[in-house]
Amino acid sequence: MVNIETRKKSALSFVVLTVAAASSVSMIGGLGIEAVESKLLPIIPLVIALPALNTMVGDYATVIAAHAGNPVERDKTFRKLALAISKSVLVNIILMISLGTTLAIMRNYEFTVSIFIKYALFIGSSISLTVAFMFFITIAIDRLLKYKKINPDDVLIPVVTSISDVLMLGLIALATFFF
Amino acid sequence: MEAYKNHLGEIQKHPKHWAYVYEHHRRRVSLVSTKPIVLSQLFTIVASLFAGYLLDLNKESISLIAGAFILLPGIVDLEASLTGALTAKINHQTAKLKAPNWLIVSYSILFSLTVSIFASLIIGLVGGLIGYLIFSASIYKLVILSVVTTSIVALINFPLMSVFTLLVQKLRINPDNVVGPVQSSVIDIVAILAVAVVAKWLI
Repeated sequence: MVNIETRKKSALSFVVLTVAAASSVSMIGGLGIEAVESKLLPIIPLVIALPALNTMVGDYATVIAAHAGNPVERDKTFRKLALAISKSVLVNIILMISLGTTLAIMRNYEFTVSIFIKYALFIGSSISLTVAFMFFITIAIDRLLKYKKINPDDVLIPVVTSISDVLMLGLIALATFFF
Repeated sequence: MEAYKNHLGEIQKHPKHWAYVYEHHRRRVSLVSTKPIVLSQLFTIVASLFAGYLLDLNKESISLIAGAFILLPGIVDLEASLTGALTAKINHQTAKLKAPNWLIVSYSILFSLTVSIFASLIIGLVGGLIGYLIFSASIYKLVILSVVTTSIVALINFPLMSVFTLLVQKLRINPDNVVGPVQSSVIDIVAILAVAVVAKWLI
């Protein structure tokens, strides 16, 4: 018979291991950033955008994956969700480009027209691509999980968030080759 | 004393982490409309861009430690996950349990802090190994960076967000609609500053 102390310890170790494993996946994206560190750090607008892009991806992934996982709400609200997120993405893109540019200028970064266009294109395309990708993998993984008779509630949010995090950080690392 | 033991027993019966993470996420997304999504994102973007500004100010310090940028997303992700579960736990348990708020908050913070320290050790080892194999980074420095940074972020963030959750509850606002964007931004800012300070100290 398992005593209470043993159960408490196993609950704690389960949480430690699962939380550490989930967070370790994010380090794959960090690997990409470390690899291009010398190219990335001089590009001040990208450095300023990095935490915002990372956080935004996590928030959107949570919203999208949480809705897909709820069978009661899914069919009724997925289209409504897609529309709401599209509007939000547009606002985010405009805000990130304007505020990011302002902050970079405050750090004495010299924006040329060419660099501004590249920065604006990168922000617009990376956010749109990542959000579209989130919808795609959420639907794909949800169908796969249903086929395998696994409850998506337990899997979708951390999986979609982790994959999207890695994608966004990978896009940032790739962008350094174009600036 | 007996009453506190009963309260503690009641608190310990509840799920520890992932159930609250999902509940926290579900309650945040129960309403689907543009306005709350846009408003929460507006706040997050502005605050996270400020965190990015701080990252740019401190990038030389952070880059002193090879492999520090590998650890940074892992640390932020760890703290975000633990803080989300912590605030959801406090929100849920203060509403449902008879235990006093200070006991629920203290137990929850202590639990999250314990998980944070052990998980950061694992993250430091994993990140350190990757950093050593690919970038010839020092495993020892990356483990110390991970554990010390995470502890600093946890010690600042957990009590702060716990008090914020209780405050928001007192104002009769649903914490799930407010705490999420605030906690993401606070974690970004504190984590970047903590990594920079610890990196300078380690050199």
